[in-house]
Formats: sequence, structure tokens, C-alpha cells
Amino acid sequence: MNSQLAEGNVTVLEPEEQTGKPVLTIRDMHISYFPRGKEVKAVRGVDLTVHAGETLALVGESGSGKSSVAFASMRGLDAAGRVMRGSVHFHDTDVLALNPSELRRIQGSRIAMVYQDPQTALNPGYRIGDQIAEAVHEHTDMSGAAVRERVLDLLEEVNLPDPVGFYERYPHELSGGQQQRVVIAMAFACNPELLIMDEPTTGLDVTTEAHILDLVTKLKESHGSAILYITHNLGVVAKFCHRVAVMYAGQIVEQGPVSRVFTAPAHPYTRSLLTCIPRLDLSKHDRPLNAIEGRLPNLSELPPGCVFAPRCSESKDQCLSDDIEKVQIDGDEDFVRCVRWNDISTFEFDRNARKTRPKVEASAVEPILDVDNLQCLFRLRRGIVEVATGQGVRNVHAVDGIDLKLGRGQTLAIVGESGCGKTTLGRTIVGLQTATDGTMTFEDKLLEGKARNRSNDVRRRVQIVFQNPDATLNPQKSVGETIGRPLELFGLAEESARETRVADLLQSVNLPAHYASRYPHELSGGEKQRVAIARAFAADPDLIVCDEPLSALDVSVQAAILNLLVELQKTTNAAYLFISHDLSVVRYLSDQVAVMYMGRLCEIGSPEEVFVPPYHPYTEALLSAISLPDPNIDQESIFLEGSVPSPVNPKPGCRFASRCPRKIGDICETENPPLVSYGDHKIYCHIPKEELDKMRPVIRYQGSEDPVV
Amino acid sequence: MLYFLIRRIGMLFLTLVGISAAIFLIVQVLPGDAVDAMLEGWVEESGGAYDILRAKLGLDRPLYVQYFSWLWNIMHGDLGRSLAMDAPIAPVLLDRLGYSLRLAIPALIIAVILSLILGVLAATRPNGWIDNLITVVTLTGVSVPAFVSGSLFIVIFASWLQWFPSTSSLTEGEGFFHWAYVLAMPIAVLAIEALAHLVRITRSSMIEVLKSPYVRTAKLKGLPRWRVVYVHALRNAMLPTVTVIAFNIGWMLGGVVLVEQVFSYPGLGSLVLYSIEQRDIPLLQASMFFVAAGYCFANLLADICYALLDPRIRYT
Amino acid sequence: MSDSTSEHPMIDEVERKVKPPRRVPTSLVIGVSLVFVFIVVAIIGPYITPYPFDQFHFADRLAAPSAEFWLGTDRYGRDIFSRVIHGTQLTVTMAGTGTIIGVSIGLLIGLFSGYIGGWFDEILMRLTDIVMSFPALLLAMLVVAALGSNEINAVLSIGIVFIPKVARVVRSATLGLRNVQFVEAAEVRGESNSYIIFREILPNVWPPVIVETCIRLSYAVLLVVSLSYLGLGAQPPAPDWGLMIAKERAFLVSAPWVVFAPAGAIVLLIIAVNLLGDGMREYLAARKTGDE
Repeated sequence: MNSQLAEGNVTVLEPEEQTGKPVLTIRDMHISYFPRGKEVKAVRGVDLTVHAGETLALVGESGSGKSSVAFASMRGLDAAGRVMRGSVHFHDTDVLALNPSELRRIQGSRIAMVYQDPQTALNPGYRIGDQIAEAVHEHTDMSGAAVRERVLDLLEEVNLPDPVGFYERYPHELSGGQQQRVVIAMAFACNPELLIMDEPTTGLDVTTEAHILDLVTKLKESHGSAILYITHNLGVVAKFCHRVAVMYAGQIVEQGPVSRVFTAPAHPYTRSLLTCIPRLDLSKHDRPLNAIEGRLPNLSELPPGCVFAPRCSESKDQCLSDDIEKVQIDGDEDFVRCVRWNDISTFEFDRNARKTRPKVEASAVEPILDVDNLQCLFRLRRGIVEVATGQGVRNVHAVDGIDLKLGRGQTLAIVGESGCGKTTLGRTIVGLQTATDGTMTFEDKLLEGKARNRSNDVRRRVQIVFQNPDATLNPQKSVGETIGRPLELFGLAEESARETRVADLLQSVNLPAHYASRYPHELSGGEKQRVAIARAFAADPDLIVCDEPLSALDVSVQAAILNLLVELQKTTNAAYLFISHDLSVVRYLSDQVAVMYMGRLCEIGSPEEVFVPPYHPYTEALLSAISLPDPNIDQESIFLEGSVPSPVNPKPGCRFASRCPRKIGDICETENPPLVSYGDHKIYCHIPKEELDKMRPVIRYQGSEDPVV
Repeated sequence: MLYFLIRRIGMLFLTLVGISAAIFLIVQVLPGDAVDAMLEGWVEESGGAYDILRAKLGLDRPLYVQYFSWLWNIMHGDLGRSLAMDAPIAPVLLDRLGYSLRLAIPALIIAVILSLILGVLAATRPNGWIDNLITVVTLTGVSVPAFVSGSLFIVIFASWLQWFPSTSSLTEGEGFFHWAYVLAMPIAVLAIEALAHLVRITRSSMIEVLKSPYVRTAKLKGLPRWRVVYVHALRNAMLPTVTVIAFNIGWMLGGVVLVEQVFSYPGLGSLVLYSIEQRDIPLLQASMFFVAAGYCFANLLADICYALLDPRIRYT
Repeated sequence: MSDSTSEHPMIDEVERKVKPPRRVPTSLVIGVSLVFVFIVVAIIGPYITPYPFDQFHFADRLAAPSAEFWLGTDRYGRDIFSRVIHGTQLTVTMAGTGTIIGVSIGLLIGLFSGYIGGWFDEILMRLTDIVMSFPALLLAMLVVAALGSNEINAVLSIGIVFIPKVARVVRSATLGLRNVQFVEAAEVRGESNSYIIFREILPNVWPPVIVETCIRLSYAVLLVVSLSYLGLGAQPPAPDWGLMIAKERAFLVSAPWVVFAPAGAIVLLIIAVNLLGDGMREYLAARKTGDE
């Protein structure tokens, strides 16, 4: 086996040796963790095989054990975890039995890994070129100039501009997408036969993600690698992988080719996953999302029977008693772990064609928030040297002239990628940031900059829900104290009545009343977010800014929280300013959508208007980049070239011009784009209306020209 | 990087000015001044001789005038004149400084080198017998004040075993080996105290760093263990250690006072003590300022090392 | 940017019906017990010593440890055991008070400086920089020299020396919390500065403060005995351990117990406090990762 890696060269598998042969074979793997002495059975009886030339997806939510399987196959589990049983074979070699030096020969060369967070995966003290060179140096006989050449080749292969310059850079000088490319370059350095990718695009923007996925596909072809792809994003799986294995609570509950699993999912968990994701053709007016009830079971005290049964809508007695075996559907590699799979109704992908929906004209609703030409500039600190040399003031144009209106009881979503200024916008409205220009009007009263300068009444009626559930609650305060504080501060309940009111609020977010005595560390991520929502609603607000409240949650939990938000809006008539980067969620939840890029608005309108041509070119690109777990749709592929320009003292003209695939000429870079109006649907673009009208829908039902919306 | 240096040096300068002001102010609180100490017992209180002497020594000028003239003098290298010794301060100070450095520098070098070795050793085999032994020894090391260990050393090595002299005088004999013989114990005392602190921080810092994601990346790249530990982990683990080294230099500058007392060694520390006992204000001011300034420079060096180790710092 | 879930996904979503008992580190157990013993001795010790600490027994000067004088006598014939016990009260009180002064003032400075920021913070930090550029012992010496050599001034000087270090630690913890989301939620509600500092930030800042206090305590004991060794702290005939070692130096070789007894007490107390500090740090760190 070691002859594969010949001395002096890095060899690639011969074409005849490809496709079909299993590269990685995992049998009956059991992994346990031992926090504080108790055994947590994180992985129980996993069998999977990755064949040469294919991409196998390992899908699951948090707690499913997918990352453990990935790390264990390379013997990269940290000290806390142990492989209790099972085997891992790389070709014919028993990986678990290798001695350290043999193991080191495969690690990094024949099996390589790409990590979830590239920032922490790279050593901050060394140049990236050197870190890639290390891998080459270690596994080949090359030295000196040859190594450097190889690294430069790799940097070019991963589409990093200016490889020579990038070689010398440090990780913190690169953007997230660039860092991930470096990690990928490091992984492909020695032509690995197996690449393990642990959620490599979580935390990257959707357009960057599209680039990375495309890059990995190309590299896979040219290097002939097989990929084990760990993710929780079903859309990416549909786009990118051949086969998929779905994990829940340490077991693979279903495995099969992507085409089969996504059209006819057999296991109830897989079905639930596919139906709880908001889709582009679903809106809150249609139906609530099918959230999965309950919580993950306690992995140290597992009940007998099917591990999903307590949460399964189809479970019967037989599901709770016996050990559930694999049932083959179509061959050895296609199975499901469910006894009732044949008995439950066939899966329908619930095509929700456009029916008439209660469309509320935006202008008809009384606006509760009116933002006029809002600007937030951040002055960059100038050092003494810069002041001395007379260099001009440099500002970051985070928010640069935004106009929008939010109607009472309505949801306005702000969509954009990282750096577009949507978070700054939200924070300014809520009073955490002061605007440098422009006005905000709340119910005809001008809003002061800082929350502290606003009247008590206004402060009560404008609230915020944050993104990170772990940071949103004070760990030293009980749930009851956290929710009770707004009641106390704004005088909404007498001390005697407070307890009942807190219980009511908890109930409204679907938490039991006794949670009031719990502390944040005893709650799950979804529960913490519910408490945060309860805290916001405790003040009886009219406007809530939701700053990416779902991004840090599992998919099944997202659905439940979305339903909750819709529900609460109906009962309290609060308006939401919903900030997000997830277009499917936005489509589901909002009445109006605003697309932001680099501090400016690109397009604003209802979801039915924005998600359908005519588009702003940026919206078009965004839509082409998102991944949808629907095999029956066609999607355009538009890649944005170039990099995001600097937000410091930006050049005049359209902000998107440098990357716009539809740029019409110099005018895009010299003059600000005018407003093109289709009634309440507004697009800010130089492209003439006739051209815009000719745009094709980016996402279409298969074989037709009808847009999915 | 250059910009970083300029900024730090600028701050250093400001701090030095601040230190000088602080010293000056504190010293003014001393009850009675040098004149009182000198004339006490000889001349009756108030008037006459006191005033004449004060005027001669410039002690009747307003405070800020005295301060600025002192500062001005220092910047020109004139450290003033010791009242108790009736001699210019500068030569004495520099002489004593030399003596103290002969203790501090070897102690520091020994401590840093040994701590790296022992710290890494303990961290790479956590909770093994080496680690436990090192933990116990370092715990004792930080818990024993310099004068206690000094006294202990004298009893054991000078009196029982007769390996080293009990007082460290450099008057007879020259040459490296003579010095090593005479200074072995005081250097050892200082080194052990610093070593204990450094090993603890190196160990805990290494243990933390060994858990980081980038160390895992290095391991899974198939790199040999020594490379993972010494190239990837150690460099980043050194960051807190550098800070503690700087702190230890400061602590050592204090410890030097104690060690010089125990071993009757004429260094800068005993000079400070002497100036306090004698109420010799110019000497006290000058020697204190010197010590504090030295500590500042050590901190600056530590900051520079920090920036060299961590590229992210270089642009603040 | 957003990281979907925490590092130990297993522990995050799993339901916990009963909190498992937390393992208390051995160092903490030993440290707490030893410190407790010292505190008890400090309180009741002086009442139960066989002899008053300043009672001379000229007939038995420099006597070796015996049944009559458990740790021997010094050059005036004073019972060393009694003096060491009395000295416990002195040392513990002085070190404890100095630490309390330093920590309480440093805590306030650190909290306000860290939260309010701006010029206020800049100025305070420059001042602490200046104070911190003096080696601890030397600064304490300077302060005692200025104010006079007695126990109270020694305590004051220790407090002064500690304030900047504690302020720095607290400020750094405060800075970490200043932009965390539950604090921002409080700002959005329009809470006052003092509410945010004392009700949102301070409860979360305790762990590093506790650890720092333990560290300060060990340095306090070191400083107390060092100062009195140099003659700048307690004055004779006080039974201060450092003072005892300094005064009896001449007899180091001939009657080592006069030095070893107080030295042993010093080392034991500092070890105890250090164990306490280490144990606290371990315990609090484990609590943080275990519960999240």
C-alpha cells in the first residue's frame, strides 16, 4: 500500500483503479465520550463506505455524531473521545491498527482534512505559504525551490489571486473564503485519495460558498479524490454529492443515492428534515413549517428501540421495543433503519404552486418605522503618523443612504452577505449605534441616536433579538429574572403579578412555566433563543429587530422558532425588522424584502416581486448561489468574479459595479444607480427597464420557465 | 512594525516621565528631609543652620522647580549627589548596578532556558510522574521567599557542606570561575524563584495551546510530533510566557534587594535600602528611578518579543 | 461569523435532568483546609499559646526544641512556638487586609474603566502603568519609607501596590463582556450605567476576580514578610515571622531552629494560599466548560 506514494513524486491513482473501489470502509463504529466519568455514546454502530471518485455526504444536526465519525476515520479524535468498537479501513489498510509513524505517512497525504473554521485551523504565527509547504515537505522528497513552486501552483489552483504575494501573508490578513481556500490547498497538496470535509462552508457567505463548492468539484476531478462531506445543509448535499447518509443521535438512519433520498425519503427523520426547511415557494400565509417536536435523547441513558421514536409522528409500539435493524431498499448501500418505512404514506414534495395569497399593498399599511437616507460612517482611527502626514480622514461606509418603511404588524427582511451593513442598520434602529446622517422616524416621532437618549416609552416599544443564543442571556440570571426585568423596568406588571406574567410569556414561547427557575446553561440553543424572544416580547413592543436569530440554530429548531415568530406576530401585531442572509427563511417570513450590498439598497419589494425577474443583478447572483434540497428544479449558475471592494472611502457609482456580471459600462462606476420603479417594487440599477424585463428566472421548476416562488 | 515600535517607545517615554514624577512626589512625603537627618542631634531645631543648609542644597525652592531641575539633570546624565555618602551618585549607582546585574542576568537566562525545557516536558506528559513532580517542586518554588531560600542555602551549602562561601564578596580574586563560585548561591536563589513562576506559566500555556485547532491541523497533516510541539505549539504558547518573563524581571528586581541582604552583597538593592535608612533623598530618587526605568525597558523588550511572535499585534 | 453550534455538540443539546456532581479538585480541598487552619490559628491562637510572645526566659536562651519549648527559644529566651503562633495572627491580618484594600479598589476602578472607556479609561490606564512599572517590593518599600515603618503602613503599601494589577485583570474581563449581547440588550432597554456594571457585568466577572484575589493573597504574604525582614514593616518586639528571621540571622548556623520555625510557617502559609488559588482556578474553569 505504501508503494502508492512513490519516493520523490506524488502519484495519482491510475484511471483504471478509480470508480467503484471502496476507499474508506467503516464498519460497526462505536464512539463514546467520557465527560466527568459518565459515558456518552455519541456514535453507535455506523457502517459506511466511500468509493473512489464519489462524494458521500454525512448529514445530521448537532449531536448526531457526524463530526466524530469524520475525525475518528483519520484517528483525529481528541483525547476526550474513544473508539470503543469497529473498524476503519483505508483501501485494505486497517487505520486503527497502524503504528504512529505509519499513520503519519497517510495523514495529510493520502487522507486529508478540511475544517469547519479556517481561521482557527491555521496557525496565526506562520505565513500561509509556509504552512502549505510543510505538508509538501513532509510527504514528498521535494525541497527548496521545488516545494515553493508546488505551493504557488496550489495557490493558483484554488483561485487565489497573486499567489506570490499571498504566499507571504498571515492567516489574519485573509478573508474567510480565502482562508478556506488555503486549507483546501493544504489538503490537496499531496493528491489525497480521500478528502474529509467537516462543514467547510458553514460561516461563509453564500456566494463564497458557491465558489468553494465549485472549486472543490474541479479539484476532485483533477486529483481523483473521493470525498466524505460532513454537513447539516441539505441543499448543498443535493447540489454537490452523489450519495448521502443521514445521521441522528449516533446512528445512520438512512443511506442512499441523493436522487432517491431526496425524492423518496424513507425514514421519518429524513422526511421531517426535508419538510421543515423553508422553501422558496412557501410563505407564512400558506402553512406553518413542520417542526420536529422534542429534543435529542440523553446519549448516556438511551431507551430501547428506535432512537427517533419519541419524536416521530409515525411511531407505534413496535418502534419502542426492539433494536431496529437496517432494512435494505435497493442494494447494500441503500438502506433505512425503520420498521415502518413501507407502511407510511409516500412522500410528496408538497409542491406549493402559486395560489392567490392575501397580498397587502405595502403602501396601504400605516408605517411604524420610516428610515430616510440613513448613513452610518465609522471613522478609522488615525495614528500620529497619519495625522502628521496630512492623510485624509478615512471612513467605513457601513450604511450609506438607506430609505425604507416598515408597516405595523408587518415583517421587513433585510438580506445581504457579511459586510453589507444590515447588522449595523439593525443596531442603529435599536439605538446601539448612532447614525451619522439621515433620520429615523418611529410613529411620527424622530428617533434619537442612542437608546439612552430616547424616551422610556420608545425604548419599551423597540426591542431586539440577537443572533447568538449563548451570548444573549446573562448566565448569572435565571430565566425568570431575565424575562422579568423588562416588566420591572417598564412598569408593566406589579411585583405580585410578575410571576404569572412571566409564566404566560414562557408559555407563549412554548416553554413550560417551571423553566423560570432555570439558568441558561441548563437550556439548549433553541430554548435560549425562545427565552430571548420572550424577553423581547415582555416589553410589549411594536417593533422588534431580529438580527439573524436563526443562524446559530439547527435546522429543525429553526423551523420551530420561525413558526413561533409568525404566531407571535399574529397575536401581538408587532412589526419585525428581520435581518438574515438566508433567502429561504426570508421568503417564508417576510412581507417585504430589502436586498443590501455594501451599505446600499439594491432592491426592495415583496418576496413575490423580488424573487422573480426583473432582478437587481446582485439579487440574481444571490439566488443562483443558494442551495436548495429540491432535485426537481433548475437553477442558473452565476459566479461573481472579483473581490468585495473595500468599504473604506468607497469609489463613486454603483457599489456592485466591480463584480456585476451585467455591468453595462462606465456609467456604473461613475454615477449612482437610479431608482427603477415597478410600483412598490424598487430596483436601483442603471440597466434600462426593457433589459431588466427580459431577465430569466434564476430558479425554475424543472423543464419550465415558471419561477419557483 | 516600525510604527508599532515608534508608538511603544513614545509611550515608554511618557511613562518614564510619569515615574519620575511619582517618585519625586512620594519622596516628598518623607517626614523630615535630608537636612534634618544630617543636622539632627548637632544643631537645634529650626532657623539658622537648617535654613542655610537647605538653601545651599536647593531644598527651599518650590516643588515643581526642584522636580524639573532634577529631571533636567537626569537627562544630562547628572544624577545628583548623595548626601549620606557625600559623593556623586552616578559612579556609585553604576557600580552597584553592575553588581546586581551579575546576579540578575545569569539567573534570568538560567530560568528561561530551564523553564522552556521543563514546561514543555510537563505539558506534553500531563499528569504523568514528571508532571506531578514538576508541579510540586514549582509550587514550593513560588512559595518560598528569597530570603528564606537564601538562608536555607547558606545553612546547607555554606555551613554544612562547605561548598560555597556564606557571604558573597567580590574583593578577592577575579575571573569567571571565582565569580561563579562566589555568586552561585544568590544566583541560584533568584533563578529558582523565577524558574518556578515560568515553568508554571509555560506548562499551563502549552497545555492550552496543545488543545487548539491549529495544533490538530498540524497533527492531521502527518507532521512528526516534535514539529507539532516545538514549531506549531510552542511559538504560540510563548506569548503568555513572555509577559510573565517581563513580570519576573520586575519581581527579581525586588528579590534582588532581599538576596543582597541575605548574602551581604553590595548591589543596587542594598543601595536603595541604604538610601531609605539614611533618608538620602537624592540617592533614593536616583536609584529608584533607575530601577523603575530598567523595568520599563524590560517591558518594552517583552512587547517587542510579543510582536515578533504574534504577527497580529504588529499593526496595533 | 456564525459558527453553527458549540464545540462539544454532544453536550449542547442533550437534556440534563439531574446535574451530575462536580468534581472538586484536590488542590482546592487541601488549600481550603490549610488556609482554614491558619485562619483558625490566627483567631484563637494567641489565646492558647503556652507562653506570651514577649516573655523572656534568660536561663534558656537559644534552647533547642524540647518538651518545654516546642520549637526552642530565641536569643532572649522567648518561646518560638508561641511567637510563631502570634505571628500567624499578625501575618494573616496584614496580608488579608492589604489584599482586601487592593482588590476592592482595583475592582471598582477596573469595572468603571473597562465599561465607560474613552478618556477616563485612558487616563486611568496610564496611571496604572506608572504604578506597575515599579517592582512590587520596591514600591512597597518606597511607600513605607515615606509614611513610616509600621504594620499599618505596610498594609497600606501592599494595598497600593495591588490596585493596578487587580484593576487590569478586572478591566480586561469587563472589556470582554462589554459588547456581549446580553449587555447590549440591557443598553437597548436603556438601563443605567450602574445597573449594567453591577447587575449585568459584575456577576460574570467574579471567577477571574476570585482567582486573582487568591494570587494576590500569596503575594501579600510574601510582601509582608519581606518588608519586615528589611525592617520596614512590623517593628520589634512584634512576633512577625520576617522580623524574626532577620533578627536571628546571626544564629542561623548555630541555632537553625530560630530561623527554620518562622520560615517553615511562611512557606506553609504561602503554599496553602497558592494551592487555594490553583484549586479555585481549576474548579472555576471546569465549572465553565462543564456547564456550557
